[in-house]
Amino acid sequence: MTDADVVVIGGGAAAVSAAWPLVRAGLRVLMLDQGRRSDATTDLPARFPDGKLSDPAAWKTLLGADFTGLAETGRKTPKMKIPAHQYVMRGFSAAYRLKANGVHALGSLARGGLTVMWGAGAYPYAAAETAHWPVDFAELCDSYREIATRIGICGSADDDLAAALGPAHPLQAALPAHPTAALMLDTYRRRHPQDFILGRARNAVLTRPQDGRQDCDQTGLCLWGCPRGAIYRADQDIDLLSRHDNFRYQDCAFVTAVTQQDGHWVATARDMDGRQPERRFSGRRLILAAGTIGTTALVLRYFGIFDRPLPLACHPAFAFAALRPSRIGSAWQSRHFALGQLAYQIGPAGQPDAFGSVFSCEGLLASDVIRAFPFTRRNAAVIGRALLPAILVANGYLPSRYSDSNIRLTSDGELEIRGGFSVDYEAALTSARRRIARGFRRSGMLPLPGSFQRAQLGSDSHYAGTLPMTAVPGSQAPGCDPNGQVYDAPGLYVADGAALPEMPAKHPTFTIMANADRISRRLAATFW
Amino acid sequence: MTQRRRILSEARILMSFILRRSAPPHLLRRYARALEAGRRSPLDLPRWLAAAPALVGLIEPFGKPRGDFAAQLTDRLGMALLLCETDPAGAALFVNDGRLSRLAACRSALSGLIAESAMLPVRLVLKYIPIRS
Repeated sequence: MTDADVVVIGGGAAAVSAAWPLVRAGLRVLMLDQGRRSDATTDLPARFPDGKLSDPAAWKTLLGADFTGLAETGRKTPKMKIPAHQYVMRGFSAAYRLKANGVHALGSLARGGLTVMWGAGAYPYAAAETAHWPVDFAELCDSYREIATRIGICGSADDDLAAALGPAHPLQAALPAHPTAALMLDTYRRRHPQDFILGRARNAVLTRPQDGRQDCDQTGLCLWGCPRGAIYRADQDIDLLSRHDNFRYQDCAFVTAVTQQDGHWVATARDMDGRQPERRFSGRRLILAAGTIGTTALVLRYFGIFDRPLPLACHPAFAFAALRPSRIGSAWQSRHFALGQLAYQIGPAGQPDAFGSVFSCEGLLASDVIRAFPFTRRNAAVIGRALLPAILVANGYLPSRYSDSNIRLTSDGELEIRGGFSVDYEAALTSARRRIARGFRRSGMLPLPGSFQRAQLGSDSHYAGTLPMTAVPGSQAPGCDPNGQVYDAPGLYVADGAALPEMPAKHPTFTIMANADRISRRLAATFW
Repeated sequence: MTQRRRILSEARILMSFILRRSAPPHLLRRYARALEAGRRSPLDLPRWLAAAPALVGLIEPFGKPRGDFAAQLTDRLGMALLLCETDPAGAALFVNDGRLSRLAACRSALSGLIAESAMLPVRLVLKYIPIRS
């Protein structure tokens, strides 16, 4: 007798997306996850930035009562600095004995995984971007629709970006855009720059309530966590799954190894916080959805593959700021949504050369933006007060083929990740930078000199491609069949980013979730 | 001077520099606690800054800090900036909730830019001939 029909390893976006079809099919599903929860007790201020002006306790939330928010961030994104989210990534490196060189190796042992602190960007891949995948695109589109319905994605269905994105899926109404973003979009529509597509961002955020989650009320506190549940997090799905009798969530269960025994799959798990003894859980099938890094470690250990590097797909990323002069001196918004306002791409519509999101500055701590100004702090504050409502900050990604990174399990049991770039990366980045700047200028935004920054590989926590789906098994490295089943390991599946053959320039999370859904629907249909 | 007094003196200078007025006691204490939480020692700031905190701008590193003192001063000013921004005592310097007209906000920013231009030559010199190493 097994503990479950299917054991799912992980507690993030891929894991819950893999669990749902199995639960709905009536299979017994056991989810194993370390499942750390927040230890923050501080209330959020009522609004941002207004809370700073009136709430004497706002600093505790914004900086942390223990001042963790004052730590230097290096080149990490602002969301990595949020005090209430520090538990999300705590202990990940130690758990996997990670050694990273030239790349940030980020992950989570938290309940809900990295979705607890993600930027909520949700963009489907177009058909051309998955043309070389051994996947029926129509089937993937079905999964996009299923995921979009379940988690709620807001955006526009009738702008240029919607036409370029490809597969249509249910959308809730877009949130009001920040005035500077709205002006940029308006100018873009009038001038239609060539080789540049701009539209409303797609965010996994509710604009109408569902499943006990409330709609966004534009308090501007998005980076610090949404108390209304409007921003999707995978732990919301864990709560919903837990209402089903055939689903069990087992926390304090960090899986260290998977093995086969008596025709079943066995996961060995220990509690990283030392509250539970090591335990073993068995299932007829086992789905790995622990995130690319974690899943890869388990598979390498299973096959006993040591000291052999596997290619790791990462997104070369960058960021910059742009100014709308006519908005200088404007009052700050008391009601606003602080995550992605717009999204852009350059290159062919169905296979962009770069893709990125655009944010206002008003959802960030001004200090984090003005520290880049070449002024004294005293004057930077008042200069920033006038400038920040007029500035948009944008990130951007190149396709993963411009990274040249790898991951290997050493014979000592350490997981080494090395980050690097392809030989044509510099040329691609230079070209992208020039074309994006032109698109922004033609849309009425002036890229700020000196603001362009390359992000360190991995700082976005986008990883994929270590155990890619292929039509036939590769001769050299482990991988999966089109159903996500690991070759030479029948009954073992990969349902997270590790299974994606590559990452186009877009955010991968929505596609990882859709692929996990697709894999599980197939598994559920053929289980018996 | 005891360690705590030196920390409070540093807090008074840096916070007053950013706020453009005397910093309230609760902010000074918060700065001190932040420093102690990070196990940082007080900076060896020139004594004359206590009489004229506005002059911190002259020694604030321009561009990438050169030397330990410059790096620490940059770090401390970053801390002071965040502490001022996240408290009602200082937040209005960073956020215009509509109390300032556009003209007033722009005028204030322009004054800041003019002050920066005036300080720039001194800051550039002190970048290469630092007061502290």
